[in-house]
Amino acid sequence: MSLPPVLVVEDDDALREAIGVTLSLKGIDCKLVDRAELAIGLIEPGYPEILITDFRLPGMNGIELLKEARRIAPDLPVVVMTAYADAKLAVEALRSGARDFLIKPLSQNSSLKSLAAIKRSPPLAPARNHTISRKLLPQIRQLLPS
Amino acid sequence: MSAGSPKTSKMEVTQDLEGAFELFVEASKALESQQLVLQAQLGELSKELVEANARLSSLLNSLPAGVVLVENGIVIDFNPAAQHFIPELERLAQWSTPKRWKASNGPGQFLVSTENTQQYLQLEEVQSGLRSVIQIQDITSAIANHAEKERVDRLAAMGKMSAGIAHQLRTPLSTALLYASHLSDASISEEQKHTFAQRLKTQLMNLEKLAGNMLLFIKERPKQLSPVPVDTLLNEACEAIGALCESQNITLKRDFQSAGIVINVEKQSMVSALVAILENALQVTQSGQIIEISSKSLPGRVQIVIDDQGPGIAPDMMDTLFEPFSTSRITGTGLGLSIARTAIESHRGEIAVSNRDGGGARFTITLPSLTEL
Repeated sequence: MSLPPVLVVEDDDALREAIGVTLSLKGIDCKLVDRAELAIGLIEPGYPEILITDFRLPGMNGIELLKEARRIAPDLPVVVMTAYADAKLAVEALRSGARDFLIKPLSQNSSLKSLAAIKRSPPLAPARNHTISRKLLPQIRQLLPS
Repeated sequence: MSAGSPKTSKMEVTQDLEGAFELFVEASKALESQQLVLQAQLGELSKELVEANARLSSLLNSLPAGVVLVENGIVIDFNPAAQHFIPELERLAQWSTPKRWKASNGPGQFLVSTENTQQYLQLEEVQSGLRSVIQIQDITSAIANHAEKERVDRLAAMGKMSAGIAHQLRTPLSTALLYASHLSDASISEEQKHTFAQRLKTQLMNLEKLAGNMLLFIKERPKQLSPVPVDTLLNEACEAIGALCESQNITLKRDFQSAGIVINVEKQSMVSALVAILENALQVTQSGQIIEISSKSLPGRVQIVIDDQGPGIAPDMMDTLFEPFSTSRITGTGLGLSIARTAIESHRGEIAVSNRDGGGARFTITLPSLTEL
């Protein structure tokens, strides 16, 4: 039996389950894990189709996971979630190859839109990623080299 | 050799007497001059003594601290500052602290309240045999400074923890929002909606607990202090957590060696602090394990120790364990230990954490005690 196409890494039990429920209600199957180290064990070239990870995790954090995941599977689209509205963190995530950066609190719309955009489009350069939170976009533009 | 004639002998005696008289006169003169020197010296010394006394008196009189000299329990002397603190102080009266002085936090500390003012006094006694020197100091401003420093520290901690607040608030908020969005989805069954509504409610309750804890954290130092037996605090904390321990098959072992020891506390604040530390222990303890809470009396203090059999504290967490949101655990608000430390320090106590040799963590709390009952 093959693994679900979306891999979610979130350490908060309740939120992890809520993300799982939200995605499955929209017909998206996902594998849920609570630590980056567990996700690393599952990632291989071609799996998963999308990786969604929290930034703050016990042990390895979301950006470290992102870098390691992209080393194993260079084309893997990764979405980083965080509660910190921190432009520097968003830039670091995008520079490290994240396809999107979601700020908590997550809403159903923003999460699904992000996934839909990733499924629709080929990888984009970070500065052109149109699914980035609107709130952070002006700050990110200032920080990115022109 | 023949004896001399009587005439010769008389003459010799006379000469001897004259010699002796001369010696006596000389010695008298020498004594007289020595006496003059000694008298002069005595005069000098007396003058110096008077001056030294005057210096000592002016020094004692200008001291802001009250000084009382007590011999065998009787007041021998005192300075004006002492009289300022205790107007009824009298020489040759029995020494005792006035009844209106109420024992405050810490050994030798007293609170003197009038209608409009509150004054904190520190009393120190240096004993030498039957004689003792009692020093009385006004520490009201020192206590106010301590409170102000605590407030500033708390504000600084609040600033530092803003990132933590974001994480702690937004994670349950995300969960709540996701479930809330499904409630209006027509394609979802009523049963599922009911489940989602329950989960939404759980998250909202978590948020409420977090908000409550944050308010506790920023609360000012306790103001309603009252003397409470240590064992009462310990038993109340144990009872608060007892049912939870039982439901998780965890034994809460009590070993209290503090019968009769009283501390000046805001009771609920201190019970909550103890419960927060016990809850922390509970979260790392497995079914069948033991949490031990013990107490013992030390000079002027009481020590409370909480031992668990969990994994202990990771070395990188040791320095920041009591900072808000420093938890690596998924459950909990991340504020329990911070609130506990704030409460303990505002009672002039200390809390320390260490890893036990046999495994598990040890929290050691020290609080100033009042007199034994």
